[in-house]
Amino acid sequence: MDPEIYADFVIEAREHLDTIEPTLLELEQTPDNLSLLDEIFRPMHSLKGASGFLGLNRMNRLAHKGESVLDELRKGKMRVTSEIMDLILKTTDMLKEMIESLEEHGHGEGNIEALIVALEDLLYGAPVRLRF
Amino acid sequence: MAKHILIVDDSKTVRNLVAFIMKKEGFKVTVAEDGLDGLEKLYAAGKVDLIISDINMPRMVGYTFIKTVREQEAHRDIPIVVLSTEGQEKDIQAGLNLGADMYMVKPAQPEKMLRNVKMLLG
Repeated sequence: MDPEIYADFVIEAREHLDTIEPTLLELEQTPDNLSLLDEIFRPMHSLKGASGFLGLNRMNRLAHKGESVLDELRKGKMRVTSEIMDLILKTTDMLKEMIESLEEHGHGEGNIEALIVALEDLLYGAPVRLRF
Repeated sequence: MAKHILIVDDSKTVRNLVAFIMKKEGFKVTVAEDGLDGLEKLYAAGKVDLIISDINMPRMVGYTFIKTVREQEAHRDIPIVVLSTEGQEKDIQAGLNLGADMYMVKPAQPEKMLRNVKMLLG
């Protein structure tokens, strides 16, 4: 596969991730503004799609969990709390690390298991077990 | 003459990858980043032989793009393949009802995509 495809993916992924953090900060100020959640959901959804398309499965898996939580939040099925926002931020940071790893080493490595567990806890209604 | 394929998707990664697969097969490729861009590129080309289109795109969604293409005499019969993340029955039906010939859910396997495109091109 053309290495330029990966180079373009890195650029696209960073663009998506760069929009999430400022929107999360805005959400902290106005936690009832569900439309902000749409603005966080969309880039996460796009990142999930693009990474899946390139077979970057770990990145895709993490983005997918993040997207699922954001979907619950934007539909009002889950309330926005600071713990959840912190978890989304950590997810975004991990995805950034994986992008850097992809750029430097050619594979999107990252220790995602603790984050996956925490995100799944949210989705299954358990209190967030943040073990970092 | 090589068949001309128009790829419409707001993800550069998807555009790049699908274009790569199609070009490797010898097809001529034009890419567009949303429905509006897709229409502009279609009109600029005059005619294409097949369209691959996403659904969720800014400025103009895939449904509107497909509907607009189908409304025109010159483009009524262009084979259209939807390539979308939305894979529920209602989404597939909506796409096919508007005039898509085929609906593929992302992530689609390159071989399958190629096989479908070749089949539609006849």
